[in-house]
Amino acid sequence: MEWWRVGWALAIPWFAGALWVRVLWRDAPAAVWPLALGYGGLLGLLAATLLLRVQAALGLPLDWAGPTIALALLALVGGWLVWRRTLRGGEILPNRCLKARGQERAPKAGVKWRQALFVLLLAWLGVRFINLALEVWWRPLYPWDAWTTWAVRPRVWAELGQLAPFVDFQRWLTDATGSVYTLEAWTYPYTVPLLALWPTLAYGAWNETAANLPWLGCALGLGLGFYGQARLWGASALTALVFTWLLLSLPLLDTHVALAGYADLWLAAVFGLAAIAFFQWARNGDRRQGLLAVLLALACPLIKLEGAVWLLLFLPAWLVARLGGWLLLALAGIAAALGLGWWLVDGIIFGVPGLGELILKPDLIQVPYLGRFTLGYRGGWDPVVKNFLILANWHLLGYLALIAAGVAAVTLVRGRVERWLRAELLFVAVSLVALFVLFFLTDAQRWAEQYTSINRVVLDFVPAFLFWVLTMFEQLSRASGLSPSGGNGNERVRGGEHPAV
Amino acid sequence: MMQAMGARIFCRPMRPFWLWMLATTGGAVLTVLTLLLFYRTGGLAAVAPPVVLQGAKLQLASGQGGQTPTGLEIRQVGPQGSAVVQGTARMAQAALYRQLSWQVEGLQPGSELRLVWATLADPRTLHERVLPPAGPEGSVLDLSAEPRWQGRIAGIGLAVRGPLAQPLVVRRLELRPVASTVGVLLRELAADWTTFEDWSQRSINYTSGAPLNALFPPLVMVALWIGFSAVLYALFDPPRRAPGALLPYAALFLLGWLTLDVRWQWDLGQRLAQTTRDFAGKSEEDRRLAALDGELYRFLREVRQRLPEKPARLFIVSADPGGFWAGRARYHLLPQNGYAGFARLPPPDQARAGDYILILSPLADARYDPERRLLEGGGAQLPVEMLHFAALGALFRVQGGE
Repeated sequence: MEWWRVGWALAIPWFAGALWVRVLWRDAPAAVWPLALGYGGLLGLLAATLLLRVQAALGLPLDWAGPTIALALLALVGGWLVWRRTLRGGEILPNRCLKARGQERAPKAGVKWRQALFVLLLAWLGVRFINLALEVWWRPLYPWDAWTTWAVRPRVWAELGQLAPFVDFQRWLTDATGSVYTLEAWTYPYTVPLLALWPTLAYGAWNETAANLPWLGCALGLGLGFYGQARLWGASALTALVFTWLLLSLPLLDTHVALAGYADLWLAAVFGLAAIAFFQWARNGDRRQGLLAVLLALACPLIKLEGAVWLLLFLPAWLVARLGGWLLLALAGIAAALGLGWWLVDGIIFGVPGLGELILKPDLIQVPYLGRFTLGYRGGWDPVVKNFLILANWHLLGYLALIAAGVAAVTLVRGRVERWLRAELLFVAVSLVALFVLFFLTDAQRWAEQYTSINRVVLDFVPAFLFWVLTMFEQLSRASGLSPSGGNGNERVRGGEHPAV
Repeated sequence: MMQAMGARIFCRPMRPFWLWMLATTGGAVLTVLTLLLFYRTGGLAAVAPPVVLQGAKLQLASGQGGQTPTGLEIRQVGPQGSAVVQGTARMAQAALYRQLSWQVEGLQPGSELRLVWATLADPRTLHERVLPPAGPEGSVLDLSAEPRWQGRIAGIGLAVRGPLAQPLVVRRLELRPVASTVGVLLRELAADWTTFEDWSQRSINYTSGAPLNALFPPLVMVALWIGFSAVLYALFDPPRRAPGALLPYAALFLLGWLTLDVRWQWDLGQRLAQTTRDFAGKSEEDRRLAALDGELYRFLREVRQRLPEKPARLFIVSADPGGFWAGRARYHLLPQNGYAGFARLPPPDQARAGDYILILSPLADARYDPERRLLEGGGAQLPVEMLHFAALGALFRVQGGE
């Protein structure tokens, strides 16, 4: 019975989120349901954590029933809206209707092998998921930071039935009540612990398997969201699935599912899907994509502290996507002048009320809660080469990124780069600069040398990078006629040659 | 006749496919040949440098002595009548690293020096081999004929039987790779592709996919394969600006990715088989007992019975407060209000009456005086009541102070 409750606890937020995302689309573009299930699933689970916070803030005991009822009601309203806006309204022409009207394109030659490949690839991904799911199901909580950091809070909360506070060691030592707990990483955000807590509340006690199940859902949501967005971009079903396979087959990503418990997979999914929605918005100004991008981007700081920094990476790309011509040049000039001024006055130091001192100097950065980073070049490409071009972490992604970078450089040199592509390229470039600063200019270089976090931090960016590669590939294949659609990628309804997903 | 047949094949509409297959096969052959040529013409030294253990990198496993500027000095043998120095061999491949050189000063004529080593496959078994006599300038031995020198070498060292007339100084120990035959290299290739890598605490940070010092890392091999195949295909069928011109190259890339992914799935399958053996069909409690720290969990289950139901403050004291066992102890005892960062007893102004102290063995700097009911160590004295004692540790409750 307890596992049924766990199932409901995971399914209800998932469907509530999926239905509300689906409501955003009155029409039925290809793969809108995978997109809704991916984005909505993650948003639904994040909403469940917010409801737990509200419950605690109201002084109520921790319980899964209240938030679940609220989410179920949301799901009902969302379902009704979906029915009213799409199916009943008759404003869309699902593929089924098109078939009936004989408007669907006749299957082309060579369609069958594409369909066969699609099914085979789907089966291969299914095998992978079953494998990972069994690891999650059987293996007790395994990775280091899971039992030293991320699972400590949910376990305490699950067993006490309340969100007991965690403080720094000195406060814990002097606390006379004995009701506060301590943790080395006591400043880490609550969201991931709450995600682990949620199913265990439904289970009725702390259970490591239940706590780890959301990680499987996270990978599933990432895959569905990625696939849906790829289709929406204009990729054929097979191309979209191939890229989804490239993403979900990455050994490091798979490892973070099998050995659930770290927050990196969540940040990769949330930040990655936010970036992908942002790319879509930058391309056609679709407000629905803008909304998804904003919602998920705002969730990044709630997942990991570095999420707050990653959030800032959207800013330059957003400016490039919205502004053009002289305004953009003027802004770039002002930014460069401010940067130069900052350098000449040897940086700035100021206090942030309630947070502490913020130091931004050429040789030192200190941000409250994030940490203190001494800046200075600490060269060392060996860990980068080793981890991305020799070890098995990323299959051939490192080589693929090099090829894509080459293609991007050629595209830029040839000129006539569309604004969305500029924004996309800037986002990728700024992300790479952020990684360079982290691993070459700060003490974090030690983590790169020891291989402890170089891959985990890059994992945050991989879904977005891979989607960028997909867009480059689509651009290139349309130019060379590789894409079976040969279209401009803006078609709303596609079908015929592949399953209507 | 072959030419005519080839022409017939390539005239068919399937011509691009056959060219693609040819390029793929040719790329694979070229990859293997290139790597073999590289290693046969001196590349081995760049990829597999000698394992050099200077005195500072050696430790005394048995006997007495210490580091000196010239090397590790052995002054006396241990209780078993011998002295052993050892160091890590970086998991060197025995088939490649077949040349041993050593340099030991102070060895009397007639004294027998032995090479000791353990393999990755059986790290608990120590193998020995008598080394030929050598002067202080050292000597070199070819281990090709040694039947037990195989697999990956986890550790090597030297052993000498006593008593010692004068101290010995071990200056260096070195394993050198020897230019290998094609057969040995091909066996290494097969080993690099079939080595199983189980889950470890490192897995969450990186997946090597092969031994870290592999000569034929699958990723590099596949990248070379795809690169060669793409060049060959471009030579066979020069690229044109025609529809589908990218398709063969995209297919090559995906084939390479698939190859790596099949290998990764094989690895995952092996890991799952291990997980199934260890944990499938067991209750949550039994799974914890079957885990790596099952013994510790069993001990902590006893400890938990002595702790109050309402969580209390718990100081976990251990020799390695940031290590695995202390962290696991803290986790297993949740929701007890524990902290595992203590390497010594907390001072009396920190531990209050009603707090609990869990000491994990071995902890040299802590003593319990049962008569005075005092826990002492690191300059601190705490009035305590001992609640549980076992080989893995002991639990105390802090009593009211004077």
